[in-house]
Amino acid sequence: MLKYIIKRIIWLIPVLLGVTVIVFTLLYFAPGDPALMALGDTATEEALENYREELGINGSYLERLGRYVVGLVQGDLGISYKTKTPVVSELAPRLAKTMNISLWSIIFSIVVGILLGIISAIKQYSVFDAIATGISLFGISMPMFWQGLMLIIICSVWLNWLPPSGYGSFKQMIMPVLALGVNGFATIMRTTRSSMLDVMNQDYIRTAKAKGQTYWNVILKHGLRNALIPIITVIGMQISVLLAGSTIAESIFSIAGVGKYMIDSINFRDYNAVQGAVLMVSFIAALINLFVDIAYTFADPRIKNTFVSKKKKKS
Amino acid sequence: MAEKFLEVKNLRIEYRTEAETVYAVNGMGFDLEKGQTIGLVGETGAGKSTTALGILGLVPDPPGVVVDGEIFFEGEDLLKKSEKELREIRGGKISMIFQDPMTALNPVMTVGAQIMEVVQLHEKGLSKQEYRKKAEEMLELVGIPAGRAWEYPHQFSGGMKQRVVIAIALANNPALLIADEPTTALDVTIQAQILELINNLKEKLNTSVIMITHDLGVVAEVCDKVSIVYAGQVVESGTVVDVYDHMMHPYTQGLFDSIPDISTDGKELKAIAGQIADPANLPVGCNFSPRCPHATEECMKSEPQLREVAPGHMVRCFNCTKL
Repeated sequence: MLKYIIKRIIWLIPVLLGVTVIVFTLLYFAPGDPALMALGDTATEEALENYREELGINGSYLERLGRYVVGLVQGDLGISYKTKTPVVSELAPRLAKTMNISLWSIIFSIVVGILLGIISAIKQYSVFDAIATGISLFGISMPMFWQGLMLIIICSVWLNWLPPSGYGSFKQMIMPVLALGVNGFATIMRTTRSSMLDVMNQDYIRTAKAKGQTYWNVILKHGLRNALIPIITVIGMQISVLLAGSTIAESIFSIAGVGKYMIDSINFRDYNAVQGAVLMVSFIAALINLFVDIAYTFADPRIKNTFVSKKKKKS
Repeated sequence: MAEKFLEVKNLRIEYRTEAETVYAVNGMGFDLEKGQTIGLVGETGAGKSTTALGILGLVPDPPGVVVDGEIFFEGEDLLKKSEKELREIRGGKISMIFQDPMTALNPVMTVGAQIMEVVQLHEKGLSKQEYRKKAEEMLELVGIPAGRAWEYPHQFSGGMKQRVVIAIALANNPALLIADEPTTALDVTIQAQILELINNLKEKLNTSVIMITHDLGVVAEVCDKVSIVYAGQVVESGTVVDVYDHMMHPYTQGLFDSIPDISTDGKELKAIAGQIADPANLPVGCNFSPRCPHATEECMKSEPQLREVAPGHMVRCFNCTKL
């Protein structure tokens, strides 16, 4: 098992390297010259060249790629063209904000999604089920930016309950977390519902009942444990969706997180910053996928077993 | 009169859906003494399993409804008990071996944990170590090495899984064991082992057994009494000798006739004409009348009651004594 985890962590290196090369290449060929943008069209060719050298964007494609990767290994993501400060130090505080909001969104969507999913499943076709499935259908269908804007209109403009933007206080967190989490909540809720409905009709649930097990233990210990496997898959996918969504949510709610940083940097052709942010997000996404795969092995012993038997064969 | 250990009286269970009502069990009745084994024999869909679930109070609701009847177990009516009281009986005094061992075990729990669970529910106050020990002992009892207790169901073969299911069922020395086709999903060689196992354990623990099966051979091997079930009713019941050697009901005769005979090589199998009665649409009169070669006008009009044709030998037929 430990061997498997270590192997998976080592596998992260080529994946991240691949992402680096792809992002770097895309940005290399993207139109727009940062030097020209910074100094304006009246600048002399000499001034532009000096500026490029200062930022490290002179030289051929391979030269620049090599320089970037060497820097990356040392934890250096280059300097921002706009502010002339290292990208790493600009990303760090922003990452904290993004992670904070994303984490709460994930917690919200998992807890509420699984809870409502279970209740919907065991009270199938009840009024509660109808309302919960209705809400989740809405959550899945409505795009996030629209939900975010509607939240601002309703909660801030009309009702004046919550501040429309910013980051820090509990009140400021509510809307971004909701807007980011609704889609995940809806997907997780629907998966939980259908998975639980399927599992609760299995023979082993009847066996558990025949043992004299209590109602909630049958549902949680036998039902949910088995229903979790597809739910974990969906949670893993939702986290990636959520990271992508944070760019939109942060723009709508004016939160200085990684997502907003990325958008601003793209507008300014601040390629080093864009690349650093993209790499950071991909690194997190890859790590989360690793966690999800490990979580699988705990949820489903049949998966774990495939590693054990492999190990046995080797020795 | 001494009270019976188990007495099922006039049990009626229906499955009600919007489209139709399925009359699965229609006035089922049988009784059982302590330590005895009764065989419930009948075709698929005759209501045997539903009866078993009815005894445990596990008829899936919805759509299942217990409409009428009484189930006296040690003098108390199980149908009048609360869910909490029933939970204490399930897995404790009454336990059940399910039909398909492939799906009856929880795939994400070790078999030991699944045996432990039922012990923990009914025998409080032991330490974790003692529960683990007990689970391992139960596995050994059914012939699985204790060392395999903490493996998962997918690591076991079908016959071994059925042994685990039996170990779960027997973990608390139940007074009554309901075995719902315990051998149907298994190879013939494994079948014999499982039957022997149930027989041995029955003798060791003095357990009463309800053996649900459609295999007349199994019944002959392990049962004291037999009830032949058709369309949710007992059509003939008595000791194994009564039913096997002095069968009276035309359906029982049909069942025995349909057993292939090794000496009549190459002959076509003798089947009972027609289809098993549709439980959603039962015939008027005797349920078996549309298929019965001896049916008279009376059979088509009114429903026969169980009659005692010899001491302890009951038959649900108007004409059986005339045949």
